[in-house]
Amino acid sequence: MSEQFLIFTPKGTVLFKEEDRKVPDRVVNGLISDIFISQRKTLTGSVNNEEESEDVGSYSIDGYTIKYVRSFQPTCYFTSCHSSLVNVPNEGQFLKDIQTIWEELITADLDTGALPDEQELEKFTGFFKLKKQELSNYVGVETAKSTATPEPQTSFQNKSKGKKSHLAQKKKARKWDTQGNAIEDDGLDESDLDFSTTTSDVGNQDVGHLVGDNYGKTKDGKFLVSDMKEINDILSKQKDKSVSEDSSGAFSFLSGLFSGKTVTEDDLVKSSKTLSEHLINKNVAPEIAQKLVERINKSLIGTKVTTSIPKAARNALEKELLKLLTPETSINLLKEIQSKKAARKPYVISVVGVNGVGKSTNLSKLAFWLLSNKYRVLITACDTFRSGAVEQLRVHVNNLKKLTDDESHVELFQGGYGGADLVAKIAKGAIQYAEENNFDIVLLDTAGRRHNDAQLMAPLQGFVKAAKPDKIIMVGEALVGTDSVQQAKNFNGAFGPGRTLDFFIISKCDTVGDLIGSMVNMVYATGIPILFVGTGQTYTDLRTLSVDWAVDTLMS
Amino acid sequence: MVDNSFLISIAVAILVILASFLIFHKIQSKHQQHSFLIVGPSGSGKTLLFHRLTNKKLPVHSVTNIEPNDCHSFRIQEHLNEMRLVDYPGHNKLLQLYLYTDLNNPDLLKSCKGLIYMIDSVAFTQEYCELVAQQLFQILNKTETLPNGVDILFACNKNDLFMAKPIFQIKEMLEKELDNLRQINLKNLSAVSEKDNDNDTFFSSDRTFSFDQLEGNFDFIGGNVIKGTTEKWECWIAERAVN
Repeated sequence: MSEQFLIFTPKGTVLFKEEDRKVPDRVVNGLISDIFISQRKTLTGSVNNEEESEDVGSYSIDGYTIKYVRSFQPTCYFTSCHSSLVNVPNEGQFLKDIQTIWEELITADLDTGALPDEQELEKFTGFFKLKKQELSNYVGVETAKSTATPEPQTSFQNKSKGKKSHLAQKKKARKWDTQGNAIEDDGLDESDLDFSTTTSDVGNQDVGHLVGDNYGKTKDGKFLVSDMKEINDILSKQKDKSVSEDSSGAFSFLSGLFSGKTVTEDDLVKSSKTLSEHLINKNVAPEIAQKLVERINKSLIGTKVTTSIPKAARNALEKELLKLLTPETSINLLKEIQSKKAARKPYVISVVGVNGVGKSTNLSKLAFWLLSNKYRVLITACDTFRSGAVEQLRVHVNNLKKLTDDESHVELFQGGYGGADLVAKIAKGAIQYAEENNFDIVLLDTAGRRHNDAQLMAPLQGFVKAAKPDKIIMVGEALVGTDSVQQAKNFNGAFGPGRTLDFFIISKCDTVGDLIGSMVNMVYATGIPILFVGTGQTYTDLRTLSVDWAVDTLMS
Repeated sequence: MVDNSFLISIAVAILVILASFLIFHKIQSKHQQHSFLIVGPSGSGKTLLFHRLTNKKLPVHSVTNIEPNDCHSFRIQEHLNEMRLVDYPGHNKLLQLYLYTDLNNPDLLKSCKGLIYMIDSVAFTQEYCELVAQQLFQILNKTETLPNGVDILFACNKNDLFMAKPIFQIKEMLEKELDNLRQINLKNLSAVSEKDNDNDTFFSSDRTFSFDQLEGNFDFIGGNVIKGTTEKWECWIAERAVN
């Protein structure tokens, strides 16, 4: 059974709250943070396909499952939260019905931050309780499971009944006694319970006048059956509504000029095309460009814009990119190194990536930066596979030795060439050596590997298990196109459960000019932020990513 | 002929409407409204404070913001002018989008009479402190570019609770953390940008950091939004609204 039901706005104001049992705030906040802000879709396992549709989302955290529905204009979120152990059937439909009732009853302009009228809210609360009662009845039927068909014969299921009544054979009405046993009853006709037919006479009634003085509340505060009728009215009205268009007066073009135009799907066709073309021209993978544009279209439809639609769409895209590229938590590498140093442990950073993207080069750049901050760095050659890899790294280390004041600050740790077991052994050995010799940072350089070769990717899991790096960095090149999506995804999933990449270094940014779309690809595919970008050939050409700069470049 | 003159009169009417609209718009934008900004980490009580200040009543509950709350007709006291009050989302991904972008806007920055930084005194751990310092660093980098800086009120929410960190301790930890951040920042790599590196910060690089070195005034005041003990914060705002 639903434990917490909330209606809230994107501005963080909860408009309606119904709580059977205290649910920690972090549950709903987790949903907002992960789904609405970061737009990460988490897999929630088996999807109840019977009633699960596009409009109803599902999210699980800390043993709770939240079902959510979003309504536009004004934007509101409807969430229903229950323990993950319980399966609440028909919850999606319940949420949608509640949404319809809410939209019908609440007239306050929520977008301006106004709170709903109290009388309206009271009426809604009554309706909500009725609806919830109905849901729990349904659940009761489900759990009782006395017969093979758990088809509830309550009057409230008028929606599904609409479809079901087409069936030729008529089911016998069933009553439920207190033990949950079914009693077949021939005398009771189904139509006696079917309120949906009777309500059709008053279907076109204006709901407004019903909010009068005598709005169906008895003295003991219980709601009458007539309220159920009204609910059904609202729900059936909503269906017809989609057909009728709102009338356009003679001066509607003027009101459009001053109060802004409401965006419809047709308006966005042209702008979507230009925007996705623009993104693809910037080297963003077509599928991701498509998804980004869909996302902004979704957020624009139904809103009022005061500027032209292409401009509004552009602004929305800019915002979306900014949101995408900003990391969820800021990473301060030096700070973490410092605190690890205080604990007298070396800070282990491992670099992974496809062949030839610049793993060793960027690792050396990192080393140079760390060395210039007076840290002692141990560079470890974990590429035991490609001939010459160790020698290449030695050249870097020799260069770095010459560039730092104290030669003892940087050293190479190597174990020759060999198979996958050797890699883990070298990594472990290097960390131990670093601990004994007071190195602050261990940089592990791994072999380049093709991301779609399972045989090459498999050893990464063992390697990470052995080395337990504090940070796993993937080096990706800006040059690569659509493949960057798959690269990022495969590497991110290669470390086994519970471990992902920590951030990206995007190399060779100087070679692509403003076509930095692969940054978007990689971040979109994984949700992992970019921390550094490589901008040239020398040791000093490593920069932190400025999100503003990236967005400006992408939008130019 | 009749048609022609009719058309002309319509054209003139439209022109007049447009012109007056433009003029009105200009006047409005010229007269800068004073503004106050509410910032702080997620879950510190920003939205509740916003509602307390603007609506004088609290909503049933509040959750993480996705969009800022923006009120242009906020009066701290009856006789004072209408001001603007903005409550920014505290989520890291949204700071860049709203708060930092707004702070880059010189008009808004100039009109900003005060910044209310909400802190959850109960949740104030070392980790929380680092987060606050990180955000504050970004904010100060912008506000301290003004000749007098921007005054910041550190509203230590829930400070009456038993578990709460005392105010002086919060201040001490924050100063220490900002100093730490200053040292680290000197070492950090600069960011990629078209512009030349403007690496000069509000920090004087050789002295240990304290709030006294900065241009703005910084006050640490306790209170509790849910219990309604926000008078001191309101006084702080009113003081700055008058000037």
